[in-house]
Amino acid sequence: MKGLLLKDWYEIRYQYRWFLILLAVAGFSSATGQGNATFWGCYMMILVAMIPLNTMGYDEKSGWQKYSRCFPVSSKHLVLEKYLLGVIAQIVAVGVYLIFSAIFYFIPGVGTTREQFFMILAAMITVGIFPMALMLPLNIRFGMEKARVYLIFFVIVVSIAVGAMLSGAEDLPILNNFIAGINLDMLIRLLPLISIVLLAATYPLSVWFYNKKEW
Amino acid sequence: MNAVEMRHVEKNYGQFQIRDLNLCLPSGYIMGLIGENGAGKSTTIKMILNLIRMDQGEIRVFGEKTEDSPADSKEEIGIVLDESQFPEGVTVEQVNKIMKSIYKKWDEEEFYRLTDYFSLPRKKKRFKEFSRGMQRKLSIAVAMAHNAKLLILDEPTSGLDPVVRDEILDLFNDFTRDENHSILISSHIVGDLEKLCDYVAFIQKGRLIICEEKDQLLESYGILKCSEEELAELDEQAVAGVRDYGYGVEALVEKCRLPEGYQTEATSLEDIIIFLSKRERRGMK
Repeated sequence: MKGLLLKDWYEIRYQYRWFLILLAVAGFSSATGQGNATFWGCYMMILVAMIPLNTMGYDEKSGWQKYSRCFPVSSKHLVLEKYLLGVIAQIVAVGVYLIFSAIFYFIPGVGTTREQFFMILAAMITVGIFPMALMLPLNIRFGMEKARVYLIFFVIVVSIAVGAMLSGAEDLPILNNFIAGINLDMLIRLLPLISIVLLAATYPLSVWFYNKKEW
Repeated sequence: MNAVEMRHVEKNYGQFQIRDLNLCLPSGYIMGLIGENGAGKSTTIKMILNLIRMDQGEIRVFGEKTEDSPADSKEEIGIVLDESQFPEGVTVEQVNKIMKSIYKKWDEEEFYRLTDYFSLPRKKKRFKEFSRGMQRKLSIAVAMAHNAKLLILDEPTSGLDPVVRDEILDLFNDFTRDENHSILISSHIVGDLEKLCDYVAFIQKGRLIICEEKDQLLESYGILKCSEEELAELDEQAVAGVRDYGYGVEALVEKCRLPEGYQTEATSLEDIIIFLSKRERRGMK
């Protein structure tokens, strides 16, 4: 496991030098609480979520994916390493946000309110974890290229479904009542937890896909 | 004990099939897997490495069924695949650190001895800046640096110049001085395999045509130069392949099936493979 993480670390250092600067800028902007703070926080997390997915793409291209299957490492650990890499990257990104938030806490007039801070944090965790939960098993099952196509397809279908649901809600009292009854505040608080549970739930699925795969 | 054993292995890809493949590599020996492009060499190697699943049959490595064997058993196998294996951004030094954490029996000293022997820069160049030959050398160095008992090498010498190839063949020979060490190597370069191998397995269109001891194989076949009329008099079973050489015909013959009095010339592994390939293509029996 350590060797696999080390390999990804070398690869990230080589491929993502620019990323550290972007991470610092996004972390700084999100912690100011000014303007598009939530956007910057989410943007940072989406970028970070792409790290394990992109390393999988590099592995596929370089032949490492096939080669690593011949190592004395179980398939569970080979899959777990990508999940772990994603989680570590998320923790680092959240850490950057927390560091800037702590700094701004002591500067009057700058920084987030308590409410804002938690709202941004919840959005960040959700936006960071959810794409990994969705994409890691897809990537393992279909490979990088096909998985992206399926993701786009998924986003389009979900968007159409949500759009249709909202536009038809007025005519359907049950749906209308359901939407009106949603506690948005509670939902935002729950979403990070739901994302984390979803990520954990997709791990066995990813291992199963991995074991079924032929190289 | 056998290092690799394949029994009645089948794999169906629709247009291409591996059919009833039986192969046995005893410990301490080197087996060369020969065949044209698309003959099934890489598929065979991938099945042994469990990278693809066979449809039928049984594969054992050191007596253990590959599909049941624990991940740890892969410690014993050194691999060179037919394509590049490492991420483009890593250096030799980084490969050492990565592999040190992956293989329990990683031998750093041996790894650097090999990379120095191959003149691979430790830090200055990244994998993507390596020539294809350098990439193959790094793969070979890794395969030989974790005290593996079995090397499975898919075209390890392709892209290398003859001098380096010769040096690498010497390394492989040294490796099998230990009677517990074995090598299964596939290559297009039949000359290399002739120098190196104890056993030869010739695969064509997914079928194993020959799997024999090399010396026995070379001993059993000969080249007969004669006229077409003389050739027609021979038992069909004795003739493994024929080619026209201008002044008559040249035939690969099974010496034991020839009538007394016929003089044959010694043949090479390359000749045997070429004759048999052409015969298979023409659909001769």
